[in-house]
Amino acid sequence: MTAIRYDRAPGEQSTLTEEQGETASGRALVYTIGLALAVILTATSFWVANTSLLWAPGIPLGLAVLAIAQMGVHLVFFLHITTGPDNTNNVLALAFGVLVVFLVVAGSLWIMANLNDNMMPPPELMNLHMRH
Amino acid sequence: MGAGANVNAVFGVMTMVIAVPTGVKVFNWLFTMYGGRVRFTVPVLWSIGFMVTFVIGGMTGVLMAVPPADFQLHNSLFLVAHFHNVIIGGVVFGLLAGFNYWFPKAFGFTLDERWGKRAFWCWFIGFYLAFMPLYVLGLLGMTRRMQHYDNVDWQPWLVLAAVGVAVILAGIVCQVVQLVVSIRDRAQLRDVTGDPWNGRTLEWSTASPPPAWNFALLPRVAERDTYWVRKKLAHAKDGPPTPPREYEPIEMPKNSATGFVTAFFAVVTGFALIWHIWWMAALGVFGAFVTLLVFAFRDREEFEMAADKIAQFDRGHQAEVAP
Amino acid sequence: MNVAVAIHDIQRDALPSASEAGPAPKRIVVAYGFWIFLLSDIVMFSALFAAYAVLVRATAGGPTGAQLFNQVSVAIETTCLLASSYTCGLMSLAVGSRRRAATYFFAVVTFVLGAVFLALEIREFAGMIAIGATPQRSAFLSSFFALVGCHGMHVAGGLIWLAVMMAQVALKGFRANVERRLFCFALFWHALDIIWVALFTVVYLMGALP
Repeated sequence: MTAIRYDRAPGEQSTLTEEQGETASGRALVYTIGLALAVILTATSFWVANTSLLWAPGIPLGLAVLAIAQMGVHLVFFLHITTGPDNTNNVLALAFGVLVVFLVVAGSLWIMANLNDNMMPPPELMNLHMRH
Repeated sequence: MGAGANVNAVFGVMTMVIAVPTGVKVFNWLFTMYGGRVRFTVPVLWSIGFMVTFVIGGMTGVLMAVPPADFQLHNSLFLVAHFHNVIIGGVVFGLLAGFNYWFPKAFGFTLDERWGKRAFWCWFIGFYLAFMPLYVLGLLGMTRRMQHYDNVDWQPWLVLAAVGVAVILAGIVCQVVQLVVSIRDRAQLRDVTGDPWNGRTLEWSTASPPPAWNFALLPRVAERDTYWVRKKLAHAKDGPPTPPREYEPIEMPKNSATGFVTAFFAVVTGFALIWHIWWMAALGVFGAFVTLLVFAFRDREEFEMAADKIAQFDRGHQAEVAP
Repeated sequence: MNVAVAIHDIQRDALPSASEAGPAPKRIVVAYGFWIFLLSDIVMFSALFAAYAVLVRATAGGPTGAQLFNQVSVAIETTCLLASSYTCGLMSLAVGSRRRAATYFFAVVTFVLGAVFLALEIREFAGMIAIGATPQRSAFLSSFFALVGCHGMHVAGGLIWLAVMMAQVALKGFRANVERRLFCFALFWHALDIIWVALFTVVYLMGALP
């Protein structure tokens, strides 16, 4: 069954044909499930941000988790990224992209915070005001 | 600059880590000469010059990876010497090696060896004369991008560097002369067989310059250095007879001016955006978009090269290779 | 036949091991190349995200996110973009099974939803500029307009692309190269929605927190 193809294009649904059991409504069902899950996650995000559902200091983390989950839903249900051997190249490229994104965002935040900490205190704190 | 010890430590380690895979590459390049009999032709001179110079430049880079050393040397002439060491040694020497090596393949005639060697030696000696003093100057405290200076201790080194610049200039002149002389004598320097260096790799099995379709028949590659093996077999008297070549038509992409025209509109757009000439920017974007549409709505993207045209060219080339 | 990088069709007979199978079909090569481009685009967005995250508190005495952002508008924008991603998926299915009418229908719905998103965003920007919250007001606002504006420009570009693709389907039908381009468009549109998920979470939801 998988002997014909070695790779699946990113975004391509399964290579199964009509004879092998894949139906038109089956293909559409994947998108519908993905939409439903994404709607639930989005609604939850708005709810978490605007009510006291979560302990306040934990809200940013909760939002981040929901966002990552929803990005995963998009990747799996809309872009058909799987862990099968015909998808290895796509997953590897994505993993590398995620690594670069992590380095850029986390690295920038860390370095800028470090530089900020090393800035001179404002003049009021150091008794540097001119005497008139 | 302004960062704390933790950030400096991470950057120091990351900089040093560059040297590890680079070291592997240097050994790779060295080992390409293993088992061979090295002929000191112009491309080989540039390649060896590259390896030596690039390694020295890389080592001074690792020196500056140490944060306390970098605190002194950052933005000094030591830094300037280091990065010129790697980009002249690496990029320029490598580029000139490739230029001399593949010029015959691209244009159908070799470059003059004598002027090529003169150019190399002028560049090589000139580079070291011009940039080694800069390491010393960096350690003596001279910073980069100085409009004027008043430190007499620096003067002897700067004079030496200026001499080096003159020698490099001679090298550049020799490069130009090499090109002029080669074009003038191209009839004598013609690359008839397509293989002026007795090469190992498959590009040397094509004509110089190659036809638009590169290979008339897809080469069958079953081992490393396929072309070298094929040449050995051809010389062997009792090798298997080569089968008759059967030519097929080849599908080629059609040429298109789209890239060139789009680039023109991109220049117009970029210029207009810099100077806030909004109407010109809009015109540039619109022009690029229209060019893209013309390209996207093409009906035929490829044309077929006829088998007999391919056969005619290839038979001519085979006759040149094995007279 | 001599081949360059990719081939039109795969041979249906049994193929040897992957290393001997030769170049992949054009459809896979083109989609994979576009996937790599999309990842590089996401890296560019991550740089804008990083700049925003560093500068989010640098309001220079001007308005903050909490004072400016309208949660209802953002919710509608999010719904529109998410729904358009869904209809884009259905359009891909219609293209795959060569149903012209369905392709046009879902393309138009996707276009309308994307246009509504863009209209709401432009309205939001215009409102902010009208009350003096311009990109020049503070570093926070500069980075906000750069990040959200860049995403909006990508959506606008996508809408133009979708319109051109519908013209191509009308004039050329479902040729191989038209299908490949529609495939790349779908990848692009889904990726834009993924970026929007990160955007509305970090900028609008976290920005509204005290």
